[in-house]
Amino acid sequence: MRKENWFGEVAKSLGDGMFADRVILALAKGKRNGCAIPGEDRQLFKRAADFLNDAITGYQWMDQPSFSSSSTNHANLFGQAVRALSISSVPVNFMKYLEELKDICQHLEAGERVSEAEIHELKEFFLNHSTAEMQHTDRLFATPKQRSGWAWAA
Amino acid sequence: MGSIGRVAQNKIGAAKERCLALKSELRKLENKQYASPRAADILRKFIGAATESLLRFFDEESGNPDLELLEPRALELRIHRRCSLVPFLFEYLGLLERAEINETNAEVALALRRFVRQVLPNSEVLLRAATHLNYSITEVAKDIKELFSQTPFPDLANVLPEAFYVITVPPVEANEVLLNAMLTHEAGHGIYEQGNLADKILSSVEIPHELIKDWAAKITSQQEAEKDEKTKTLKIPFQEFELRELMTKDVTGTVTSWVAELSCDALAMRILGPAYFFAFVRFFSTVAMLDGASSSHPPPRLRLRLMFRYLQKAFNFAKLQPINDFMSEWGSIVETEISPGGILVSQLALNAISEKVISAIFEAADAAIPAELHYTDKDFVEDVEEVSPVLVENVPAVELIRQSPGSLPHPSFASILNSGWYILLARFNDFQRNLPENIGNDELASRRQLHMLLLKSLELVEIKLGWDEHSLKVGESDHAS
Repeated sequence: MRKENWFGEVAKSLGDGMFADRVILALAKGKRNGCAIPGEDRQLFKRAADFLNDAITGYQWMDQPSFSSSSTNHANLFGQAVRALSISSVPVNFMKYLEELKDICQHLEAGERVSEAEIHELKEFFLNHSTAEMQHTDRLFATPKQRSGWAWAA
Repeated sequence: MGSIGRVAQNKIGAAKERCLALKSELRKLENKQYASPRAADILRKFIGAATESLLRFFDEESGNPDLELLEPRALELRIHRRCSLVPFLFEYLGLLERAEINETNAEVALALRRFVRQVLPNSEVLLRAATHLNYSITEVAKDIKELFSQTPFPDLANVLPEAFYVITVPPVEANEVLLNAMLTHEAGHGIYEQGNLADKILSSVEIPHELIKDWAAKITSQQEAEKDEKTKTLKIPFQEFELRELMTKDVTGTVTSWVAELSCDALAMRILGPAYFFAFVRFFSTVAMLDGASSSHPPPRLRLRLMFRYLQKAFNFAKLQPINDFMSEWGSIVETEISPGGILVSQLALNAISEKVISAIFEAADAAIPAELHYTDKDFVEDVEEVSPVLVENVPAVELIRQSPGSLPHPSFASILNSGWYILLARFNDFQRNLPENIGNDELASRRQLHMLLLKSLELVEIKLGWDEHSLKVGESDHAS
């Protein structure tokens, strides 16, 4: 069953955006806290690292194409990561960029301190991700035609 | 003003007003009658509780001191998204539009709910009229539960069942019960998801790396060609990762969707047998070309081929001449080579759906449907011999005299539809002869009469089953007391 049905897609976009908002607020609190994340927020960075890891898997799919129930999900997360790039500073090495962000998340999840520049880099990525998802949600609200579940139609 | 900026405060104020409007809308709907009353009730309860929670949440957000740490763009995004939950709930409530008893084929709603819950336990079904000429099913609980898990009230969506299916039926076909067989495919999507069939099938799909590389090379060379011709680069040249994203999404999306669609056909064939094939043959002609493919649906010819091969293997129509003739005609059509046109991803997906994948699809479909729900050759023979003669006499089929004395089983949803198709394809003249002359002499009126008869059978069986279940409950409670 695909996720493209209108309610599923809006719910997913809103949910993903809310997650990004929570990461942004946690990073702001972390910055206030000397660039380490307080205990109650650390779990968020495990999910953030998983998100980036799945996006990396999506990027690598073409090198060894195989299928599983997760293939589409990885491809979608890869697409979300691409949309979260700032137009003005597209990284030369996309994979390396995602790996670096993942490393920062893993440090934060472990309660370790990171540099202010790293907090800033991660925050920029999730702020762009949050913006891209909000734009996607708003676009979906403006497309009433798709609301009746075309995707699963016979 | 508290900890929150003026823009955010303004958004929250407007959202709270819309929450109140939503509450008022909910009150207006209280006295409406729906074809699926239980599903409608669940939906209203969830939206009511969500609206109350949102009102409290907006107050809490206004006083959250941590929000002062956010830069204006991040703050506006956060608040705008939370406020978007309100229009989302409005849309969710909109599912009740065209679900009222006078707008849907309410006679079939209960039978349909029973049927869907047989194959998808722990689910609820809302039946509504479509605005387009197609059947569809949408699951609207799972993603909403996931969404609410990101809010401060994660348990709120637990009021929704494990799966909540909204099924739409084209109003012009509401009474065309034989075409309602298409809904079995739609229920198949639920089975596919709940049974994790993708896990069992997709690992058998193979796409040679070389094919993907060839495709990438074609796209690249198209860019190069244009560059050479105009001696300048394209306006937006693909970055390596953008090309990867485009192709990965296209290929994985198309292949997984096609596999899902073919699997749902296989599931529908298991549950409904020939009736689904006959309905599909009739139905697809109004919505698609034989070799027309899209990113979500494989060419109908491929779908028909799979169904046809299954029927040839599992059913014996040799003694049923008109059905045999029908199958022979379609046999040559479905085995003709498929030409999906020049769309590369369709050709790639067509290559990927190998015999190995088709075997995996049928094996997974077999395992996913309980044996008692398999519609077999024996069932079809019994329906031809026992149910259809009653219907040919223009009498609704409600009970079967088939088993031990005193036992009068009811014909199933599958039996009624298969008997109906058999009459339409093989005994329609006999049926027409038993109708009043003014109807029997008019082919379209006779068809309508057949549909009404089948609809009446489904309705009466459902009433009888409901009555039996009620009697059983009363009996049990008397026994207990």
